[in-house]
Amino acid sequence: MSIKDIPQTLTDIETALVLDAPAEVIDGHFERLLGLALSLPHPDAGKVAAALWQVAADVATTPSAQSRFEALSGALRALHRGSPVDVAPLLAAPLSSSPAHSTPGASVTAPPHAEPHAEPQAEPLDALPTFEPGERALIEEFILESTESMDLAEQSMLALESTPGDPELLNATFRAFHSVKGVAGFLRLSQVTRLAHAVETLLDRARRGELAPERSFIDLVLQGIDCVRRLLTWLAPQATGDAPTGPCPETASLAAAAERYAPGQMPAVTPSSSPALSVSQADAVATAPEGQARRPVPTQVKVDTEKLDALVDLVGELLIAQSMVAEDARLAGAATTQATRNLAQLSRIARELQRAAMSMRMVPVSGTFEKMVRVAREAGKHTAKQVTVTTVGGDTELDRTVTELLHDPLVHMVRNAIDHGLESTEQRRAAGKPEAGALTLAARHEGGQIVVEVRDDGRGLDPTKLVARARERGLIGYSDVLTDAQAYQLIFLPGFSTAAQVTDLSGRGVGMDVVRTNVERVRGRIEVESVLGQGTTFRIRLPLTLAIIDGLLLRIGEERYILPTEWAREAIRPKADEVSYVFGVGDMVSVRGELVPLRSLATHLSTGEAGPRPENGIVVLIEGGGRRCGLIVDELLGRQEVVIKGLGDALGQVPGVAGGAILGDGRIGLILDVRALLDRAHRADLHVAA
Amino acid sequence: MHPDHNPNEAIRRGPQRAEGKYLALALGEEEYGIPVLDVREIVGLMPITRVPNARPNVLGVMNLRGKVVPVIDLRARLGAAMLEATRQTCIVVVKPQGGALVGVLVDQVLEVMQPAEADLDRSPEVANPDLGVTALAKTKGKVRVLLDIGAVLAGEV
Repeated sequence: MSIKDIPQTLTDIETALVLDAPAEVIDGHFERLLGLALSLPHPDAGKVAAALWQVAADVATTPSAQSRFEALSGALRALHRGSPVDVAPLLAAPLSSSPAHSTPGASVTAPPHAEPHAEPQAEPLDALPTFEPGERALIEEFILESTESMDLAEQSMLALESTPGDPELLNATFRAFHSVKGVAGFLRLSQVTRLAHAVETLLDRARRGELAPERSFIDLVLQGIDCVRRLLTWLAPQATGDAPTGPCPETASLAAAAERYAPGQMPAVTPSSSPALSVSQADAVATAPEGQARRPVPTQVKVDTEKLDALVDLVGELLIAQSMVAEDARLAGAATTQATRNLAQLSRIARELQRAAMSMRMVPVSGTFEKMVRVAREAGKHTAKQVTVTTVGGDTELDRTVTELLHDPLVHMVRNAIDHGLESTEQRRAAGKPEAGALTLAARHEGGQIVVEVRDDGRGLDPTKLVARARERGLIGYSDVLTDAQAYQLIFLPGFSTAAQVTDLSGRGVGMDVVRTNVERVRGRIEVESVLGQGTTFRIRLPLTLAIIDGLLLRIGEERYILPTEWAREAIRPKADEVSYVFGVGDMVSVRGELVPLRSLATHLSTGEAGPRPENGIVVLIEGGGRRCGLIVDELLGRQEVVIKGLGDALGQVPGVAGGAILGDGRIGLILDVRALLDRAHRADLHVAA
Repeated sequence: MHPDHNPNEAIRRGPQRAEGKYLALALGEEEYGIPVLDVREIVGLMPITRVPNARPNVLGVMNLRGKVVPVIDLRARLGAAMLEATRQTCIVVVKPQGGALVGVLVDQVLEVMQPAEADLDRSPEVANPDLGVTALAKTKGKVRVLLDIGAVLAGEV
């Protein structure tokens, strides 16, 4: 055991608390923590650990205990790093968990307007609620937005000095504080809420003409703006899950001053009249020598996603144009060494540019995973099952749109895994498994794709029961014989099962058809692997980007269409004796002994022409989600990367068409909606799956 | 040449000067006017890709400098005769207020006009909001139908 283990142990404890681990597990962690803390050079480290252990029992139920827990664990981490921390005030706070008014964090539970005018010394130093990992994104957003609001308020107030009569400037400042107050209330940031409320009330009085916006008034509002900024700066580490550094900026005296403000009076708060405020102001000066309040998270810029999309779009076009130039045979013949080198340089820059543009849209998957840990925790509580959640590869980056669309399917899969995948505690014990079920969320890059997995060590899927269920539901015929892999695919069929019916079975078909549809919407694929009695893995494969696809260029009549390569398996020229007509299905082609339904793209796209007979054209076999189909086309023109574009807002969604792309000659080629094609063919496919 | 006779020039000079001005165009044998405010630009006839399963008057989509823009043929809708494409045939790209970018195939763009209020007939017998007709303009012995292009297109795409 080494000193290095303190942060890890604290994380273990926090995880165990979040997951409601059994008391003996938590106590075990604390025993270790206590031992580690006692070995630290700081004399009070052991006391801090002991206080932490004591408060842990109430963390889940009492907000004051939560903030105390945060403060203590933060102090212990700081001691571990060797930072000089004065732990005396922390330890001096009552160890009882009753939410007494003097307990740090007690004000969190009290609505700000109901609070009496607190005297500065009564304001807790660390009144910060405990934030769930899932709320961190909210805090970050709050900091960004509030920083903007405060900038706007500052501009308005300064403008008010020169045009005192302008009500719009007062209104703008009022709105800025109002929005800060609203979100702060939601995030349980009582200090920010109270301060913003006080300043907002003050502004409202001026708006209603109760007081004139004179110099002292503007000074006070500006002080309020600076104070909110200090709070935001102090709050910033929370967005990344770190403990705040230093004490919380003092706000009560300023809030009180705003509440008591009378016209003509100088602001009640001056550095000399309030030692607490002067300390925090000194901090602000120390961090920003120009005397300007330091902007929290100053390295980020808010950009309209539309602009970002347009950039990614244009870069995609650039890359395609570049590759057309680079591959032009006539140019290659005439080029000098210098020109070839320059062209290679251009290609390299274009690719770099593409990578940079793409990365702007990318976010790590960890944020989504953190939300899933919470979902798993609630599902576990709901079903009275113990669940240990492990996440792997949280730093894997995904397109922001993909992340958003992935959220719902993941929630579904995590709930299903716990509800239906994991056995009850008794069953697990009987099967000789650990009582706590293991759920793993993993993300990684794999062959130009991103793979996201939801893995459980539960009972696994039983193919026999799945087939029986599908027969009962009339989804497959009684004579059909399915391989295990085909049987697993059944859970993705619409109408396979509902929750109530499947709970008795081993299956878990709750809305899995919706999951698949959502995944396919972001051009992803879903796979399932299962070992009976050992667990199930759902694996989602996603493209790195939504902006560009690799496509097969097809000719159908006079028009060219693009078929996304990810769906295409092979292209064949069937002989006449390989094509047969099946009643109720239509033409089918025999591929290595398997019958695959055929679709004429000319008919599907209603080009007005009959299109070639299968034996006269080319058949492109497409496959997805266990469904297959052969598309009859006139000609296969080649393979090409294209930038996906919508067909314009005026047209919106057109059935059978996924979008458009600009081809090498400047004309537009339409991208086929393969899922729609497969949906039409899949029933027929299932009937001959044997 | 008076600058107003060059339609793209008038469009470029922006909305301040566009108020009350109409782009006069020919659809079949008839002449129409659409507010210059709603017109983005005029481009020559270019390749149009047919879109399956779209509304009957949607000719398809064109590539407007990298943007995919639908192209509509209003002649059937307005009861105008279908003419063969000529050198005058062009596409008027419009973006009505609150609407999306749409290309309208026209047989000829005539001029930018600014009819005097006295020359406008807004009587209920001619103006029909349901059809997107706002008024009749009588200038130089000709009658032109002024269209609310946003309302006309609303039912087409």
